[in-house]
Amino acid sequence: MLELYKNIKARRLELGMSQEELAKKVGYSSRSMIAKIEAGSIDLYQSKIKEIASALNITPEELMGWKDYFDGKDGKGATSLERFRNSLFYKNGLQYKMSFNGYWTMLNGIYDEFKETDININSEQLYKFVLGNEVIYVKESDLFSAHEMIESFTKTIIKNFSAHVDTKTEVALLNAAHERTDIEVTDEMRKHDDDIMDDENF
Amino acid sequence: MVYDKLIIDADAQGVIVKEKPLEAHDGRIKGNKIAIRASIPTRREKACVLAEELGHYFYTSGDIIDQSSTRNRKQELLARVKAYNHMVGLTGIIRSYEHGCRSLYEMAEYLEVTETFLADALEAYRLKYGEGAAIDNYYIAFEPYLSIVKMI
Repeated sequence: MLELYKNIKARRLELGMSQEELAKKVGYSSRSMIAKIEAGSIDLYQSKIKEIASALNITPEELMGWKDYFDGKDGKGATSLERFRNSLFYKNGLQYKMSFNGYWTMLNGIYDEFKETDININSEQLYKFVLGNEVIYVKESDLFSAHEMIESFTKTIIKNFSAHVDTKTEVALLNAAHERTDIEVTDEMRKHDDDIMDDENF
Repeated sequence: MVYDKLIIDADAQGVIVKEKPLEAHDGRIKGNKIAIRASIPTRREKACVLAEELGHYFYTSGDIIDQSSTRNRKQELLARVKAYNHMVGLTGIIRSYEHGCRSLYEMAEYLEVTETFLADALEAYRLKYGEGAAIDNYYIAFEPYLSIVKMI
């Protein structure tokens, strides 16, 4: 199968675009055409390649695999965290644009890798962690330059990371109780027991 | 006594176990401090309470006082199951069978646990294993009633 078809799929997924959305952008009536294209069972002619490339915010050359956008350090085999990092040092000077959805997909990829490390983090934390506790609302249609965005996000990550690690050690103290079942327990009695547990000279 | 052994084991792990005049609880754990209600009448009962608190110490984390959250109830259950495994366990059932115990009372007596605790443990195993479980060359059936088969 030609690189082209693989690249279309890879780039589409990178943008977090569905087959349906892409089909609409390039003027197909249903997503099945895109599915066939990605499976490599349809030959594309030049003008359609151009259309798809522009819908994917990428040049036709890159889509065809002539320029190695997808290969090398930046591409396959790399984990999304590596890709995220590498994209910062991407030397080609290629200013590709990424939708918010695309960024979100990437964020989820990083989250999956975080899960495999010993750093405990949930998606909400990661989101906050990357965005620096600021909730940013972005319209889906808004496109921004990935480089600027990733750079600023990375700075925030680095800034927040140490803070995150510090707060991580503040785990709630183990506190459990085996309540009596033989008598009716009142709040006053519970308070009494709490005082015993909190007593410094336990 | 099992109770003394548990206290010694806990002490070796850096857990402070003390008997305190608790009013509302049989046992409490906070950090590495365990309090056992001093007015519990038997040492055997105290051992069962302590086993459960140690289950908390070794297998659960965080503030789980509020039992309305599922996460906390799961942790509570885990601590209990660990206590059952420590004090009774499937091997305990077999040991008491080999010892010649004929009733729940004798079994509790042999394992040095309270009858209630033993009944709770058996119920927990029934929930876990269902009809029965095979271990070594024994088969422990939990349904319709507890019975042990030795396969020769």
